[in-house]
Amino acid sequence: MTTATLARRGRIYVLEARYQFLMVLREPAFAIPTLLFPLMFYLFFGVVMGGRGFSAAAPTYMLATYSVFGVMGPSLFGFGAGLAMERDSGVLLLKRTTPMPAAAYLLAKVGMAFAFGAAVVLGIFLTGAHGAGVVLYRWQWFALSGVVLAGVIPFCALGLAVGAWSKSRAAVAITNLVFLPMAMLSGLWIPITMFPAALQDFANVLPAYHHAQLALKVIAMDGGQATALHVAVLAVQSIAFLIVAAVGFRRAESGAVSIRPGGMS
Amino acid sequence: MPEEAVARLWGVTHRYGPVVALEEVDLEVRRGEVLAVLGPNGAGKTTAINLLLGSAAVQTGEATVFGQRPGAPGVRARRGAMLQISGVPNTLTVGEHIDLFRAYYPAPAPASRLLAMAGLEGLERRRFGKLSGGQKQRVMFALALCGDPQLVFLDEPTAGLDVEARRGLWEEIRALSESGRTTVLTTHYLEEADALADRIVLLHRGRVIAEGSPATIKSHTAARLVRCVTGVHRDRVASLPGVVRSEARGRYLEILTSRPEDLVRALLDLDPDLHDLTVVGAGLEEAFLALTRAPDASEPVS
Amino acid sequence: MNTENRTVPRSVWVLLVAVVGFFAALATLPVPGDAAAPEQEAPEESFAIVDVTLFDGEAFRRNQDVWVEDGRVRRVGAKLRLPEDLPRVDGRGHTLLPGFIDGHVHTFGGTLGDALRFGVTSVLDQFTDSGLLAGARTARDDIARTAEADLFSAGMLATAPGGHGTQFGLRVEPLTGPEGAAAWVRARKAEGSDWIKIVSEDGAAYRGEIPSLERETIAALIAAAHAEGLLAVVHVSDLEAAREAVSLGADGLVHTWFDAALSEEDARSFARTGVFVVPTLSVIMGLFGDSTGLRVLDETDESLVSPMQRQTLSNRFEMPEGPDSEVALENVRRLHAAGVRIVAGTDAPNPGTATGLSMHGELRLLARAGMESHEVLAAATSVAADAFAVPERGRIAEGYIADLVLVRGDVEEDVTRTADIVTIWKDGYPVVRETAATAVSPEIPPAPDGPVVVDFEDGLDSGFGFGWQVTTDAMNGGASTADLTVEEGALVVRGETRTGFAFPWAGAIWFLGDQPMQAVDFSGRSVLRFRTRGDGRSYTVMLFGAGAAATVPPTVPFVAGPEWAVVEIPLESFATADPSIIAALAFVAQAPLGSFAFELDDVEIR
Repeated sequence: MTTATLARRGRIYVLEARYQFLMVLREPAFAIPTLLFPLMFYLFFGVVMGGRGFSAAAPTYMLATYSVFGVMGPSLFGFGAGLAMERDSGVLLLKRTTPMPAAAYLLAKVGMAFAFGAAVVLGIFLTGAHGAGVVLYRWQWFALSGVVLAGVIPFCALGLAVGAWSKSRAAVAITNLVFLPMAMLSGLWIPITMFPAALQDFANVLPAYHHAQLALKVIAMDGGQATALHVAVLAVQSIAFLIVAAVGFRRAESGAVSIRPGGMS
Repeated sequence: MPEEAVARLWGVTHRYGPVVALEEVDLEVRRGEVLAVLGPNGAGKTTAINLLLGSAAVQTGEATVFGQRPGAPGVRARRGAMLQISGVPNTLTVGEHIDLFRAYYPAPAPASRLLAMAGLEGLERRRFGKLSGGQKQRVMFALALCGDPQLVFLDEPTAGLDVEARRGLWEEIRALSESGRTTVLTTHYLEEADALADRIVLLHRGRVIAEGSPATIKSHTAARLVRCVTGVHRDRVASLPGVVRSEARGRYLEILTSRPEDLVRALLDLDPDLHDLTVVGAGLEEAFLALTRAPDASEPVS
Repeated sequence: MNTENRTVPRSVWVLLVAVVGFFAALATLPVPGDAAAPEQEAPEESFAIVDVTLFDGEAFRRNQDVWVEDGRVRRVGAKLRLPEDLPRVDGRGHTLLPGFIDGHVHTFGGTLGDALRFGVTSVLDQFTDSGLLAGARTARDDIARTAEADLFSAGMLATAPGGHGTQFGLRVEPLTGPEGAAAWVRARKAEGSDWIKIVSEDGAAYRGEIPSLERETIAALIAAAHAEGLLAVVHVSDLEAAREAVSLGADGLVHTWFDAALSEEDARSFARTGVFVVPTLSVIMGLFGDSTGLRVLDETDESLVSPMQRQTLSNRFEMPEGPDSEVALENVRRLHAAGVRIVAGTDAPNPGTATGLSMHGELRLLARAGMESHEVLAAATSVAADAFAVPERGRIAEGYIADLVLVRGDVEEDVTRTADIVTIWKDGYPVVRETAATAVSPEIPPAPDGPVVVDFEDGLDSGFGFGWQVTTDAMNGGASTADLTVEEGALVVRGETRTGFAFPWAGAIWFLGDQPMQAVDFSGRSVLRFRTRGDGRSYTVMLFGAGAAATVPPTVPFVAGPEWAVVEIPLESFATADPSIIAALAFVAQAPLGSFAFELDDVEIR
């Protein structure tokens, strides 16, 4: 491959990511909830109520959990539901007739989830630091942002699985049904330790729970389970989600039923 | 001639579960021509296009484009497509969509030429969602041409457009063929095929039922449908003037003919009691529909 | 749209800027160390020093956090989880040490303050006025803000009539034989002595001869001390006395000796007894004119050194020729090599040493004797505390009193850095190191009874205090001038106020003390009265109290007209002035700029 070809291919990735980002950024129905809701929730529960309701540690604890919450949104909605919508509208099919590498499309979506996640994380960090006086070691700030943003991968995989099996309108509804209860039951809104024991046990099956525990480990506020356990569960679940997604796409393609709105003709 | 064929389907049968979409279809696209794949909804037009685009895998038979597998990277780079889709993302502008699609191709057409060819000048900063239906189709058309393709597939390019918008897009498609590109378009409007195509392939229920120049096809579809209640037996009718086909339908006999006046005269000679006579087929569309629908038409044609 | 050559770089740039911006923003987020740079005002009582190189009393540990709560160390460890609102000191690039313990001092005057201001938070006194002991115990048990080091002491020493220790004028009850030993020790314990100090000194090492305790008496004292549960330490200055003391069961020797080097065999037998040695190299090296204290003084900001420290450092013992300072160092080297515990002690404020300041010299001397940085520092902290059974001090560990010294740089690498102190905490409170601020008001001589009057009949010599001088804004970089003459029994002040300093002035200043700016106590006087005449412009009287340079002096205006007139100014008109501390009065012209002339006569304070 010549450098010119490489440069051209690189340009596809860059442009795909750029327009993917611009596309969702200009969509208020997506951008505002994903960017502002976690921040507002954190501001309200973590900063305003935090000091009173739970303990002085609340703003710090919730800094981690609401950051996880903030990364889930763009991954599940932007990636999963967004993909379902573009598949249903036929854009995906059209792009697949062009020489566009499929990886460029997927990476652009992951990159978009990263970018939005990073913006949310930064917003929450700044709010926590300047609004609630959260102080962490520098390595903790960096490590926490890294761990939280790494959550894009399992959540994108989950979003992909949901998107592969549902029509666009259903995808948003199903994603909401996955997103909000999982956030709640994983202890992202209020500490998991305040739940009944049965719910705490149940949380062990939720990827958001394991991801939040990893984030809390950075600030030494996790439940004490092994890092390896959380990483392993997330890895296994991510792979499972990808397999489910692949099966879903294959089914859709072989039937060509839900590939496009026109049905078969 | 094989070397003339830019793309072809050979002995292709395609099924979606129990439904047969294409059956033993042979289809050849020749260099430089505008080929119209004509047929009603469900005839298998889009399936044929999808096979030639590599969007669906060939089940039985063979599909090649530029002598290669339809999905091969070298093929994708030299081919453009306009699909029956609801659109591209609303929040990006015309210019941004074109910029992105141009980036996919190794030798893209200049953006200014694309805007001119699709009649989109002055709209490049407008968001896709703010465009009219006709403008949207023009954007889809422009996107099909971003790679400066040698072969263009247009799947129902004017579907859903009003007459004015449709005529406008025809102009762009004509200009496209004049620039020497090979074009395949699907349509269920004979008028559209007649206006644009060098050659028409008539597809019905997954089979090619006719193929030829618009004039030939029109001659096929110049037939009239004569319906009456008569004692003349169906077998006898076959030898009457210009009869293409005949069928008993209830108490009626339906006869397709290219020479309706002679046929009616002959019928009346044979059966003076003949009654409830109707002759249908004032326009091309009706005749075409009659032709393609005749075998299973369940309601009287009037 | 020819964007092929632009779009990619622009998008990539935007991405790069976003990534860099993200990390830059993360880097601005508050971290524990951001709370306060060590040079900023030190927190007190409850706080943390974070990410510091820690010497915990025994070893160096990197990147440690020390959490102090209510004046005690609550926790020590790496990356402690600290309360968010806890004040923090950024310890990066610094070393935190336990407050030093000087194993051999003598306490009087301001020595406890001098010690503390140099990081010596506890002193082990080897002879002082036993009247101090009760108060010392109360003070050291109180975890509170203080300006003095904790005092642990032997109190009165045990010596022979006319022996070493009797020459200082402190109360001493000499022993004449072993029979009085038990009662003597009980008396010391009752007075509050923390251990028993015994003098075994016949003057031989100093080429002299003085009475000393008999061997039997020393043995009896040691036995009696042990019977009372007290340690017994022995002053020695020659090898023979050292051997004898160790053989009699002494717990410690509070000097090394310099008449002869001990053999390695002796060193090993010393080590077997568990005896410790406080070599006091500072005072011994001072005998030979080799004062490391003076070197420390050179590196120390003048404002931190008290007059007493300066004076005792410059004092000299008379030392005959003969012995060699290297012998003392060699003894320490051999004792240490054999495993004998070495406790850092200075014997300050004896000649050639200064309390507090000399501790830093002693550490360097111990390093010169071959001890590693951590051994030297242990000798001044944990080993000293353990040897003299001093509780809760000498280490930075949970529950210990927060006596801390924060030093710039890496002390493990260079033990001379101990003197580069950033902050000292005593009982968790930062110590004010400047002498001016800590000094209880220095002795202010009272003015003579009756009015103080200057009539200039004898010229400029005012007859009181240091006298009259020209004062102008030249000291602030201004250009004003003044000239003083006495004509016909009156002071004539001529000059010119010129542009140069923001608030120009020029005139005459009357120093009331024997030295310029030395205060005099004018308690009971109420009025400044003088006669004046001049060019008709307005002048100002400034009143300078103590520490004049630091504060703006209060002023009162007066007018010098063409005819002699009496001006009376109540002293209370000088806002903020205290009649008990008046160092000088200045009579000056200020604005408007230009030449001036006025006369003063019969200036009196009454």
